[in-house]
Amino acid sequence: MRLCYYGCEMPLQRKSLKEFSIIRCAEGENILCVQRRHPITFITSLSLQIVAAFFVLLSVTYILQFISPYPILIGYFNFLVISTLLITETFTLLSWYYEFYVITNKQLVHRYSFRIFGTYTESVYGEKMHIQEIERRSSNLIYDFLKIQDIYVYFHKLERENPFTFKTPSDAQVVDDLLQDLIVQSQTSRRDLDKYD
Amino acid sequence: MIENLVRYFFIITFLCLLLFDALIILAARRAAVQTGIPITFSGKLLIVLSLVFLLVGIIFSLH
Repeated sequence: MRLCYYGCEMPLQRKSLKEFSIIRCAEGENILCVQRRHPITFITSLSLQIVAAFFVLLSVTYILQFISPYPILIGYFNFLVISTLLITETFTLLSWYYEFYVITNKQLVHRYSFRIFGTYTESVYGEKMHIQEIERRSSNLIYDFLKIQDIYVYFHKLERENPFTFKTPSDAQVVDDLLQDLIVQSQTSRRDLDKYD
Repeated sequence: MIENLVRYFFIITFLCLLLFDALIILAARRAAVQTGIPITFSGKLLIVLSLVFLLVGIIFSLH
């Protein structure tokens, strides 16, 4: 059923991120979870940009009043600062909006679709690597208070030296639970294979 | 002389920002096509606002 709103049709239910074709799945592969980074990460960077632009605007306006004989120069500088601020905010928003962490039953994927040059994807195939440890850490006190955590997935050193990092996902608990389930599943399937051997 | 230099500085700066904005728009469109997720309304609004500011800035610098 579709709702009519100002002459435009809108779908009754919003699609979840899992329903979009963010990655291509192989046969037998199911997407279990798709998350973005927590919104607070881009809200804080937007706020810092606004504060910095405001500070630059005020200081340039104050200094140019005494130095420049042309008052219109202040207007040009303000225009320039506001334009730069809008562009950096657009870049920050879209970078956050199109960065995804995807967990399937076979792999972990970090996909960064919004890039000026190329698409960045980091994939770890769970069937070929053995998860050693999952660590959850908050990078500061405020994130700790808000329960915003980074998740580090460690593998055997010989397979992968650096951990696969979920940087401030929107729900760290869900990611952790899914990873634990994947570990149990892979251990069960390995035991079954050993039995047949 | 100095007036012209300042004017050219602003024109070139605005043009460089316009180029960067164009790259952002192309990257956003590519991301929307690849993922199937359309650009959010606030993203479109920011893009439009930044284009408007840049074009107005270039026009004022030229005159």
